[in-house]
This record gives sequence, structure tokens and C-alpha cells, in this order.
Amino acid sequence: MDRKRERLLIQAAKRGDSQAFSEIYNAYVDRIYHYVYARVSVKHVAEDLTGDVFVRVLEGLSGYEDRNTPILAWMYRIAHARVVDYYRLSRKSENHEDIDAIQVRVDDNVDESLISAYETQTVQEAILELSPDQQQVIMLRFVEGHNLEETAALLGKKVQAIKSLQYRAVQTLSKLLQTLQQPIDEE
Amino acid sequence: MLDAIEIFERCLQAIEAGTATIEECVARYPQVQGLEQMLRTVQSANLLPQGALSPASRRTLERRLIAQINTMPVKPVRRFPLTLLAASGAVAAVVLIIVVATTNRVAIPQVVALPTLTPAAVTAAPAGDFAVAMTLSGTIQSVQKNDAGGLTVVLDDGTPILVASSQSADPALAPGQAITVTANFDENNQLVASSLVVDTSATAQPTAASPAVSTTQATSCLKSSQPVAARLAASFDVTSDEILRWFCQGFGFGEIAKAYVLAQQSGKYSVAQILAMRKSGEGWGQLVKKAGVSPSALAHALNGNGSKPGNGPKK
Repeated sequence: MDRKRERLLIQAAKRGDSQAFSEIYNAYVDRIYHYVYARVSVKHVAEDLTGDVFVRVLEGLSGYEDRNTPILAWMYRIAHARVVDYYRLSRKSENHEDIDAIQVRVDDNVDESLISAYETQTVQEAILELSPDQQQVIMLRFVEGHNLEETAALLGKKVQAIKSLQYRAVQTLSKLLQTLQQPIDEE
Repeated sequence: MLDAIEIFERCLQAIEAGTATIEECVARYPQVQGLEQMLRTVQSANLLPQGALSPASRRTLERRLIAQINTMPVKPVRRFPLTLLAASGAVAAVVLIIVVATTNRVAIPQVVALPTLTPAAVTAAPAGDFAVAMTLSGTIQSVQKNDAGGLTVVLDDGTPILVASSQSADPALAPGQAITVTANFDENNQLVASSLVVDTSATAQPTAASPAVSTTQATSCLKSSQPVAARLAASFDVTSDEILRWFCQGFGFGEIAKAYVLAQQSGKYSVAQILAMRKSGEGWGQLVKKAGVSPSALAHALNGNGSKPGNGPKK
């Protein structure tokens, strides 16, 4: 969607035009779902969180100001916050238990799909340990597939700053993954 | 000489383009410590699950959002630049006081009408509880000041709605106006407006004014409860008698609405069972948990599930 059209739709949606909001929704829902699903890898959770993102967009639209960045940038920020909230709320219960369960099964009988699930979860957990900007640059560059220029526009930074940010993010993530994967590698 | 940041970016691009492998990059730039691990980390991130939203889920989400739009408060249209508005604020306040004093009505600018309507919506609340908001439309039959300092607006079907003084500082509510109100039930089973929209396009004629409705009347199991019961009945596709039976057993309209939403969502318990558990002292948070309904599922509630948009009582 071009920026001019996007601005018009935002203005209309702010006035309560549900058709305009539908168009914005249809333009970006797949990208937001893709982003969220990569971070939680549970279909119904990803759907719920995607819905929540758009509800937040709807609720915040009246106060939204176009600062020359695509509305998708704002949506990604909301999506990131929803994912962080989700992990914060579920961290104490099921997620860690799931990882523990998988480790036990790996001891008994190595199963590739379980290892893959474990690795996915490990990467997702490790990403959460990064700073918000670092998380976003990893997601936008290496999961969502945005190039440097697009990522810079979405994060409101210069291309050179994105290069530095992604370098530090990957460096930190790499160290975190080495630490997290150590117990399994040793076994 | 290239720094590590630039080398890393070049390697990423070369690997993505298929012109180099991780091993080749590492061999080419041995001076960059940890380069191999970093490139493998990017590879791991690339392998995170790729999901696509199914068309059915996409439609479900869209319905939920459209319903949400219809229950959202609509802000008044800004007719002047903010600076001008601020400068004329004091004058406007004086004028407003005079208008209120002379007409015993409250003047407000009209707000834009909502595009479509839904009879009810569900919002999540802390501690597993949730609130059910009704969206009602109708023609104002009477407007009276109430004991709380706000207004009691009675719609043409007899539904009384309390409008807080903070809200009534704006609109000039008068009999004959078509309005759309989003309201919640308070602890006295009164509908309390959270947003109010005067429909400027409607040309409804004033109807005969009815006597003022006190804030306590609707709490009794009397005729005055019937309009609200009818609204709820329409929302949940049941008869008014069914709603009134619960009401006359001592359940509030808010509780009744919650029980219907929860019963619809869980499929595990009937309304009767939920209200019985409620009567035995269980909180809504406990009941939501017991019914196995996730808070997010509650947020989906009534969007194409048991509600019929725009099916409020006929005027």
C-alpha cells in the first residue's frame, strides 16, 4: 500500500470508518501474524495476539500521529509488546515446563522433531533476552526479510545505525544461544 | 579497511545471494572473531516457524475488529484548531453555563455517527473477570436530571440510561433525538453510558415525555425492568421472560449478561449452572477458569456468535 493511500485510510479510520480500517487490516494482518507466529509458534496464540494487536491499533488510532513512518512500524511495536506480555504471563507455568519436558525426552531417545522444537523455543527465548530494538532488528531483518533500508524506515533509524544494531544484536544472540544450548550439546 | 560490522553485512548479503557459504566467509575474514557463530545464529533465526493466517481465521479476526469499532467511544469532531479552541475556552464556558441555566438542558457538539451497530460486546477486565457492554440505539423519549447530578435518558422503548455529568457536559440531549449509546450495567442494574452519539442524520420526531425514572426503579423486579430485559433478550436470542426470571431471582442484568456470554463461550455449563455457581459465591474469575474459556476467547465473544448486529428491539 502506498503511503498516500495509507494516510487517507488512517484519517478515515480515525473518523470511525470501519471500511477504511478493514482495508488497513487486510493490508497488514498477514505480516503481523507472520511476525507473531515466528515468535510464539502456537497457531491459536498467534491468532489471539494478532487480534489483540489490531484491537490496540484500533484503540490507539485516534491518538496516532504519522511521523513519516509507515503504520506497519507502529504495528510491529505493538506486536512486539504483545509477544513480550504473552511470555511474561506464561513464563512461570507452561513454557518452561515444556522445555524441561523436551530435555527429558531428548535424554531418552533423540527425536529430530523434538530437537527442532527445542531449538525453535531456545531461539525464541533467547531473542526475548535482547533489548527491544535488538529484538526488532532480528525479527525484521532475518525473520520478516526486510532489507536494511526498509528496516531503517520501520525503526526510524539510519541505515548505518541498523547495521551496527543488527551486528550487536546477532553477537549477543549468538552468545545467549551458546549458553542456552550448552546442556544439550554436552549430553 | 572494513570493520567487523561491514564485513558481517557483506557476508549476510553474499550468503543470501548464494555467492558465498558461511565457511567461505569465515575463511575470507579470519580477523572477525565469532563470525561463524554469528552467521549460524542468523541461520537459526531464518528457521523460526513461518505461519500464514487461514482465510477463516482472518475473517474471524476481522469480524471481531469491526464489532470493536462499533462499540468504541467516538470522539467529538474537532471543529476549530486547538489554539483557537483554547483561546475561546473561557467564553465558551460562560456561554455553556448560561445555556444550561436557561434551558435546563446540556449543550454539546454533535459527534459523528457510528457506521453500524452491535447489541453487545465483551471486554476483558482484571483478575479473570470481564464486563459486558451493551450498544443501544433509539429515540430519546425523555431527559431528566437525576440525583447523582447527571441525566437519566429514557429511550422510546422505555430503557433508562444514566449519563454521567462529565458526559452530559457536552451533548444537548433532548426528546426526539436519535442516539446510540454504549453502556455497562452498574451494581444497581442501571445502564450507565460510557459513550453517547447523537445521530445527526436521523429526523425522529419528539414523542410524548414520560415521567422521570429514578435511579432505583430498575433495580426492582417490576415493569420498568422490561425494556432492559428485552434488550438483553435480543442480544442473546432468548425471550424477555427468560431474562426477567433470572432478574427476579435476584441476579443483576450485568451478571445475567456475563452468564450468557460465558455459557455461549464455554459450551460446558448452561446459564443456569453458571448462575447457580455464582449464587454459591464463586467469583467471575473462578467461573471463567472453570468453564475453560481463555480471556482472549471472551474478547471474541458475540462477534458472530449468538449476537445479531442491529437486532435490538423494534422501535
